Amino acid sequence: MFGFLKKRKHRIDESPLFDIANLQEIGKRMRQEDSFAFVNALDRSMYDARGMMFCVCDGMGGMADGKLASDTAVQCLREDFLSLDCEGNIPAQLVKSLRAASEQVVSLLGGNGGSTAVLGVIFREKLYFACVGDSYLFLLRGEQLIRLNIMHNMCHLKYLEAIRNGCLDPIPGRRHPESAALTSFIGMAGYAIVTDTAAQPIPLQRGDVILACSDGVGGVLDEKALIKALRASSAQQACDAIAKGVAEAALPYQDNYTALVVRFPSDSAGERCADTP
Amino acid sequence: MALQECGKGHIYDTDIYPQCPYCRKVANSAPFGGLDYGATVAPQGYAATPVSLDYGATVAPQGYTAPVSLDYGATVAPQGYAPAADGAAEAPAMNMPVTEAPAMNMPVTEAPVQQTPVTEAPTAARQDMPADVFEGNFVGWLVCIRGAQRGRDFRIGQKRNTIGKSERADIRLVDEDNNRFAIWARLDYLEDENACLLQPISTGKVLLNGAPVSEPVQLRARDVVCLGGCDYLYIPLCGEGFRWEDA
Repeated sequence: MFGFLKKRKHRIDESPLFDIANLQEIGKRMRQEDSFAFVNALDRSMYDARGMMFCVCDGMGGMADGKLASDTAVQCLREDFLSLDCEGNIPAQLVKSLRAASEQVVSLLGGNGGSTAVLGVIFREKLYFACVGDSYLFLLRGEQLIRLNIMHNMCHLKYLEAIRNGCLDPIPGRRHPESAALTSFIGMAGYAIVTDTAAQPIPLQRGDVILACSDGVGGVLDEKALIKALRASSAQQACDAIAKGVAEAALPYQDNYTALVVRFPSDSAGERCADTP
Repeated sequence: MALQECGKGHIYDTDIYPQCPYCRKVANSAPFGGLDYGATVAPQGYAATPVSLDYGATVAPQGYTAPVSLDYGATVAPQGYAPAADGAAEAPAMNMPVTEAPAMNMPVTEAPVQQTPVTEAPTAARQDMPADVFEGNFVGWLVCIRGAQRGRDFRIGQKRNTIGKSERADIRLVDEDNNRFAIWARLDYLEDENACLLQPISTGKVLLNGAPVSEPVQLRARDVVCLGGCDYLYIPLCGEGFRWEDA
């Protein structure tokens, strides 16, 4: 009557889909003013349902309480992610999150404090991001390291102006006396901050490695060193290689440095099969 | 490896760390007020004004003054940046269009005036500051020759010395100039040169022998440094003929 119930192979995914690690050190500074966070990075079921989030915020130490600014930004972004509508317009929501975080920092520091932000969300193996400031978001795909976000600083602004005027020479921007000055940051008072995002997500491929880092890493290690580090066999080894690279650079005034690595492993070691009736 | 996410979103290996090492490191780092090379700042001319957001957001309490940690070479906003209270200033045109926050039917709310303790003592109260308790070797003095603390001397440590009105400053001075910032300059003892280097932090407020200082400059004996609107005579202890290492 019941017929023969054929056993079906049922895949049980227990391990996180992504291999993740984080690194943070104070460098040669007296205070740690970087902040960072992951959400749902280790919880596969939560990731499947709502995606995962990562963010790095670099507090502006030359203004009021960079740590408070970056920490406030991270906490705001984490809270906003928990109410993210994954089926809606994710890029728009991420930009809105950055602006809300900025307003919170303004309310705390009156425009006298600021932070950068690199905010990434991975949902259904697609990467969404929104950034402000001069922190870095990279994607390593194969042998190619791709910088995903632009810098919001005077150097870049001057270069854009030069391009609009028909000049492709980046040198004047680099030599500008305020080349490192941020033109947009979390905590700017009186402005709607300018952000950088991609309207369409980036579909991730197996073997891809994402790096979100502050300029203590991105401004110290060159492309070659970053590629070598990110090609390590695990996210933790990649972080260890980054830390080693920064230590070997031995800058006398090494900035705080923070790195978040998200690897999409090439194999499917995180999956196993079980027989279920 | 047993990875765990702490309450603040940090990932750590519980096989190695009994608690989140990142939260512990932050808790153990120096308190706010330290100065570092290359820290991020806003550009020259940036003058944030308290913004009353028209959708009921919390504003800073009246009388709130954000203490500022300024670092040499810090990231800044561009020169001339001056956020307007009414948001009229233009942000530099970049990828995203500038959009205004949506108007909402929420009343403007001001945070109640709080009895927030003033972290920086007003000028008059500084007269009765306790005497400096200086530990370790010092390399010279700043002697106030004009201002509320005339006649008082301040020892310069054999290290990096922050100077300002912040209670966290190594050399805490009176502010008669109504500085926005709490840390104005740094005086670094250079071991190789056996001399002191004056490095301005806040712009427009540090004078050397009457001239504005915008770059690091090595001090000479009897130089007059104007800080916080007061004049200080620099008297070196270390220099030609004396070095602590030789004593």
